Amino acid sequence: MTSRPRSKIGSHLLPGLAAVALFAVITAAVLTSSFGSTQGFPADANIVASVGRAMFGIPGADVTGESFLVAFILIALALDAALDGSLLLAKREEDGSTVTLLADGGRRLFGRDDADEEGED
Amino acid sequence: MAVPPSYYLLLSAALFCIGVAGVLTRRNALLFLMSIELMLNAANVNFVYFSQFWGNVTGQTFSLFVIALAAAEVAIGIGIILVLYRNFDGVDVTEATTMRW
Amino acid sequence: MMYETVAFALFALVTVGCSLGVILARDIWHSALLLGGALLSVAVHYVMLQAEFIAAMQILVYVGGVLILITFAVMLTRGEDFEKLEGDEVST
Repeated sequence: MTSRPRSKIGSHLLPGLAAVALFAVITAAVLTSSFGSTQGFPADANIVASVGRAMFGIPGADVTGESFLVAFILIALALDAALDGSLLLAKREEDGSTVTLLADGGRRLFGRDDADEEGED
Repeated sequence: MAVPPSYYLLLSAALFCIGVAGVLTRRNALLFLMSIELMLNAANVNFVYFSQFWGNVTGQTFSLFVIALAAAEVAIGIGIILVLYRNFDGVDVTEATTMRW
Repeated sequence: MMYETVAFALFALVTVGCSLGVILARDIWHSALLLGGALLSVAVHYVMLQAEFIAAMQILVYVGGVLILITFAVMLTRGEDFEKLEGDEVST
């Protein structure tokens, strides 16, 4: 069974208007500022090698940039590992065993079983 | 000449504002995540465009980081959504409004 | 060169159209598919900006990874929403 997409408009007007207002403010700021001309990359530059050299501060790249950018990714990876660790610590334990990830709407744990209820529609 | 900067900035702003509208409007937690992905892509378009504009490779490096970390964040977010589904029997963010249940 | 502007306008239209569809579609699976379309057209923009490596990473990671994750999440959290969706329609 396939169906074509239908849209849902009109349920929340105020956040949509807020987003449009934000877009109007950004448009006004962009259109009233002047930029220089595009410089672009050289035609035969090796961009991936330049990215690698810029990340570790190795000189001799075709396209220049800031050096030692791997610091940012290391800090971000440490933050990501900390987030995963916090989720692992917060997993609930019942009777000494860790509750694993279930995707059944809580039926096995909380006994929610809609088939038994009557008048539920 | 090449595409002027204001065109790409407006594209990025449009994507970002559509993402903001999605975050504020929809109730489904998965749609929340997808709107955040739209906002991250808007920032990425900005990074890559100005990397080409200045002839500097820093912008492309940062957009690589953003792509990798956005993928990791979506993985974590989906894990949280599955736990939300288990405990609240639905992924409606307006129903899961208390810290304890 | 005018062709660059025309190509940019075409793919920008696809991107903005698909992302509007993401937040406005009623069914969440249609939203996920339209998000895939939006991410693919952003990858095309990256190719036009001389960033082919970023475009390849975008397709690999976002469309090939993140979208598959979202697909699994849509599949696992479906539940009774499928029937509730029809009765939830707001009269516009």
